[in-house]
Amino acid sequence: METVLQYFSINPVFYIFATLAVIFALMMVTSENPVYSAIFLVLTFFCLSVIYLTLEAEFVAVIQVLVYTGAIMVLFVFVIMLLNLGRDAQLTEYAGPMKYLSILLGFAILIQIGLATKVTFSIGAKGAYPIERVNEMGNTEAIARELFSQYLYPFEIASILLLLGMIGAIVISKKRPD
Amino acid sequence: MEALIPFIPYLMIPIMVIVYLSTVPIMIQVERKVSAWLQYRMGPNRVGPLGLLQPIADALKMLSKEDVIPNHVNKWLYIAAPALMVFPAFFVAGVIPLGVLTIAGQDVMLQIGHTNIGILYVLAISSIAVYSIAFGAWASNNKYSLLGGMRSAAQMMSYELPMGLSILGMIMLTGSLRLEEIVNFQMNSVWGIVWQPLGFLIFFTTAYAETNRLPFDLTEAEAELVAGYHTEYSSLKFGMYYLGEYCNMLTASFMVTILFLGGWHVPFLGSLNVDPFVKQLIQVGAMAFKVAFLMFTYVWVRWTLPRFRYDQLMNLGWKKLIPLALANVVITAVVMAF
Repeated sequence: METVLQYFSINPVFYIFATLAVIFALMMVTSENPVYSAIFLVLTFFCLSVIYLTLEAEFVAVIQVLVYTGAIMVLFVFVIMLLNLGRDAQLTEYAGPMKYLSILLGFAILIQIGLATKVTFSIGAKGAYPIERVNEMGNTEAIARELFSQYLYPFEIASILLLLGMIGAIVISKKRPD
Repeated sequence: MEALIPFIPYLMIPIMVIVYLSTVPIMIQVERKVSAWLQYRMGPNRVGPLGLLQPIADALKMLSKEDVIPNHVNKWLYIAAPALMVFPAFFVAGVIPLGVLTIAGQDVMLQIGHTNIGILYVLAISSIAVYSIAFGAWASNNKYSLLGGMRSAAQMMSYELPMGLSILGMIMLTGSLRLEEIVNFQMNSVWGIVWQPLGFLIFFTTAYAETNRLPFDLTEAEAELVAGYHTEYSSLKFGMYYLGEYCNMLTASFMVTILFLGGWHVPFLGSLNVDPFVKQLIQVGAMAFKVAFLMFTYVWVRWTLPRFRYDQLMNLGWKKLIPLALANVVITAVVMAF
């Protein structure tokens, strides 16, 4: 019997990259320079993708790099550089005393999430796609089969939403003839 | 011999590093000589016999130059960015197969990692290279560099879309993301270029744009931007960008060969009456030959075609290549359904 929790506890790679992900995420939030924030966010995404790899979900791992690191964050960096936010316009908004309360609440949520995952992961039943079956049929095939059969409707709706967003952006940015 | 089989992936690591590293000096020489021939010049002919030691002289020059770090740069990023260029360039070699060898009755793939997401891995890792250019440009704190970096970010974003879409046709035909499966599919039928001529053309074009080579080298357009993103770089840091560019070209050539030119497949080799092991070695050689020819094409195109204007580049990417690639996917799907 190997539950997800046991899997985590024996995998040092997970611990290394989970720690790094948390450190990079903290540095992303705390750094004042937007370009540094973008760099740390990219590094966080990388660590996440390694964690996916330790779970033998290589398709999700590679899509994480391809979509988030390779496309979305490039756009972020592009906009930051285009607006030249780097040097002068450093982020100087501070929360004041509310900061300490938010840190406290953040830790409370963290503990709650930790407790919740401990309960669900250790007693969770096996689904239709346990790790042996996924390995047998291939990671990508398993995702594709589920996505285009059982979850076809939500998938199509999400696609149409994204398409609407694209068309909307084009319409807004287009010059109106007046 | 059988005990050797589990160690083949580990043996492939130094081999791939040597393949990538040895390509760069060869390409420097080819670039100089071919450009000279195309322009009716002699080219380098002083260092060594026929000027063949010129790459060594070039490398020594690059190593021994003063490493200038300008005062106004963002020091950490300025130093890290060139290294970031070389990292994905070598990292991507992890899934590229060079051929098959039958050792002790077992087919062994000459490849470091056998993953079932081969193509996606190559696309994902090579899409990281843009950060090196963008961050290097930004850290230089120079407006020409910044313009070059921004052009590069926009260009690589725009051309990644048609590149991914042009591969889709081959993936649909093969039904696999494994590079070795795609080669096997072509060995059992015909080369991908026959199946997907449009896909080949689009992929070939985008490969030039993704590697920032002429006619798409808007990121370093000398006439407009001094030298683009590497204006402020000198010595080995500039050398790292140089190295990364040639490694990316090699990866792109490998991908074109594997996807559309049959990989290590040699036509009519089956009817030849030689030892199977020799045949497999010939196949590895054929792969090397195809890749070398594509690398030569890079140089050929560079010294033949003039540079695009930036708006032409964007128009070509968004208004021509993406619709064409989408049409290619639809046509492939319709033909496959009937």
